[in-house]
Amino acid sequence: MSQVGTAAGWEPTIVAFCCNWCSYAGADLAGISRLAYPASLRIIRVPCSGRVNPHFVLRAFQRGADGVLVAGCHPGDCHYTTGNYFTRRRYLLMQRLLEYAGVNPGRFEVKWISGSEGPKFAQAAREITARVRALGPNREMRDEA
Amino acid sequence: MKDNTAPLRDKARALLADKAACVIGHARDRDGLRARPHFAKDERGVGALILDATCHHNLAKYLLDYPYLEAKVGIVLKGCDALALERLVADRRVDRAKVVPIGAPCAGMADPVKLQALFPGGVTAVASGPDGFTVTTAAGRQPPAPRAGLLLERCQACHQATPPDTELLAEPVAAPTVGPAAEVARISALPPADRLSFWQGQFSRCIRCYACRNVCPACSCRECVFDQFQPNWLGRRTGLAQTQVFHLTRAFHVAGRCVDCGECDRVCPVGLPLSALNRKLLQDAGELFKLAEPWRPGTTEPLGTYKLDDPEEFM
Amino acid sequence: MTETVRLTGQGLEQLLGAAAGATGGLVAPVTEDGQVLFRPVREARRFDYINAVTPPKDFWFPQTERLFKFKTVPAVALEQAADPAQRVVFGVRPCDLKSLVILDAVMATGEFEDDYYAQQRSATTVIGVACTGAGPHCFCTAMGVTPGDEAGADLMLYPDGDGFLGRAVTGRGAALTAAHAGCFAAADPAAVAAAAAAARKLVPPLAGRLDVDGLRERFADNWDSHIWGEAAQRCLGCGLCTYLCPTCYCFGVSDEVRQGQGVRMRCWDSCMFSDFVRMAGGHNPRPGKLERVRQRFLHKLRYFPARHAELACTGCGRCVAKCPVGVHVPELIMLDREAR
Repeated sequence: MSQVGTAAGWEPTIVAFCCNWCSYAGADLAGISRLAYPASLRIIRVPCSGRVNPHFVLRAFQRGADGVLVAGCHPGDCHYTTGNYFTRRRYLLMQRLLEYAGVNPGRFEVKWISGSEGPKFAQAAREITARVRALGPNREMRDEA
Repeated sequence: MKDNTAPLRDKARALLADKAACVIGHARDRDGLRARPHFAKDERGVGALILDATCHHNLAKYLLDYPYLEAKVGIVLKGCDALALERLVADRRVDRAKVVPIGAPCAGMADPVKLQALFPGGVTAVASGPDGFTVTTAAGRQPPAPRAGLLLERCQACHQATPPDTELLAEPVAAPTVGPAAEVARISALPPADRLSFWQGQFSRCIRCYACRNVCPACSCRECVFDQFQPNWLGRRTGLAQTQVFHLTRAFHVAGRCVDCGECDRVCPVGLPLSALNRKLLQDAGELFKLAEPWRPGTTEPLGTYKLDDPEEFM
Repeated sequence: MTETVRLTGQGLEQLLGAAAGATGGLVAPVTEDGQVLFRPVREARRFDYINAVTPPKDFWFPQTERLFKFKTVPAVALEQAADPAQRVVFGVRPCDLKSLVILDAVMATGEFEDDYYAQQRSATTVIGVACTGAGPHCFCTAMGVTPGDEAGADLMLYPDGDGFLGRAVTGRGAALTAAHAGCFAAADPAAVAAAAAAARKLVPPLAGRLDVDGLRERFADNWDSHIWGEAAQRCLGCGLCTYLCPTCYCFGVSDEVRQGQGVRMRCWDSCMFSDFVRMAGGHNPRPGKLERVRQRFLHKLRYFPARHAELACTGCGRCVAKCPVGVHVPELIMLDREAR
């Protein structure tokens, strides 16, 4: 886990919830294709992005994540037909609630990444890592050590 | 609300004669000032029922205590409480066929704290109308008090003053026009760092007594995630981050399901503005998904459905 | 050990300033968003409160207390929590002072002394301040406490004009007056006794309405009474009353473990929560609100007095003020009287 307060050489920890059918396969493809992306992501495989309870996101922040990424199939491509449409509604609201509660919205992101989009996964990982690195360690919502 | 005590007692008597198990209403607290929930089961209980502008408790959730009765249960419902009943029915936690709603049109409730400051000796009845409050004490009727001086804050944002589709104890009252919640706008306008410190300051007072959860008509899970210990999602440990997670999770759990009855604000012992979280979510859901605020019976909850063309703001 | 002192407003400021500068700091009532709360502060400014919304219990019996850290990898190793730093808690009212006597009886006396509690207690110097007025919810005198009682305080202060008369009640209190002798002037013991006697005469209005004659015998005899059902049907089952109560001391112990290391902590629990006595197999001896409400009030008024000869209620009135549905100690006492 990341060390709060070590500015030099600090790298963020980002929890990435990836759906089994698209985004996890996309991450696999990025790896198989030898695409370089930051090692800051901790991937958690979930059956569907719709499985990601907002509580998981809050818990990730509470327990030390500096950023959270939820990744699923493109709308219309869900393995379970409609799961990611629910995800989309849920996290539209969640993003605004986090912002309202004072958590920088840059720490949280939802991305649609299909199984064939290895480069997109690598790009998403680079983007969120760069953004969260610029924001610094999560001090908005994390347990005291 | 007028003093509807007399018609309520008549109605309660009739219901109990008709083999209702109980009539859930209010009685005067021993402090002679506040009201408190009251369960009338016999003539003595009926004699203690009151219904006036001190009866701000939302009673709907007590219906969960009557799950397996053969007999019906009568319950006093103001406009806001009627939405709470609909919430419990929609969540399939209450069988509406078992419930006899007693409708109480309400022009606003009196704030018990303000009431205590003005009438430390107690009151016998408090009636409210569009113009103000009429307070009766042991010494008789007092001069009318202006509405703003006594009104319970949540009643400024009344969504429904008269319960629909129920037998009413009095003439219907129209709800005042409600603008966007001022508190939400105020908090939203703060710079991000100030917003964080505002909420952290509030949450740091939380004692995690769960009164907000227990009173909430949208919080009716048989076992709450915060009571589970395997897995131990949050446990009893307190700390700022835990409390943030608790309140944001709870707000999200009732997102779009909240009926904005304001009971969470009322019961909080340390005065957290919890409805400012729920109202924010209601406003956002309304704006993003073009829905009524708060949730109305017969409509699907915003997170229980979707549209193909929902906005994608940040994905 | 007795020592009577006079403290001017300036002297108090100086004393508390010194306390705030010490390692453990100063805890005193402050107003946050209209709520009076005990908080770590740099200076104490408020003296016009009836009492704080939450009891100062958190400062000697923290709601969450880390007992020790541990590692299981590569081998089991424990790391004891650091000893608490010396701290001054200022402005504690007699009802909350009495709660210290009650908590001490459970946790710091007799065969089983709780090290963690005892350490917090010996690191804390409590400055009590007698009441000058009663709130509408106070009922201390009905519970055998008066607004001028000093039991539980290390240094007791009685408001007197612009300043205070005071008495060092314990060795810790005497050490405080000795260490900050410059803040204090000597006072006539008779004047201090008179101030204390005057404060003791204050009777909260609610106390006058409570019939507490034979209270312990009555509550030894009402297990089957209908009053429990009557109170319980209103109860919301939240933990508000127990967490606001200065004398409730139930806790649970749990571990948080991650990657081979963890913390063992104890956190307040509440007998009003449905899972409080749920057993490993799922059986719950107090399955309903009735059993839980009965347990809470009989613990205060019957079981605790039977064991420790004191009521486990000090009449602070927080449950009266804050219970959203009117279930509280005076309510049960009145219900019991009416049921007879």
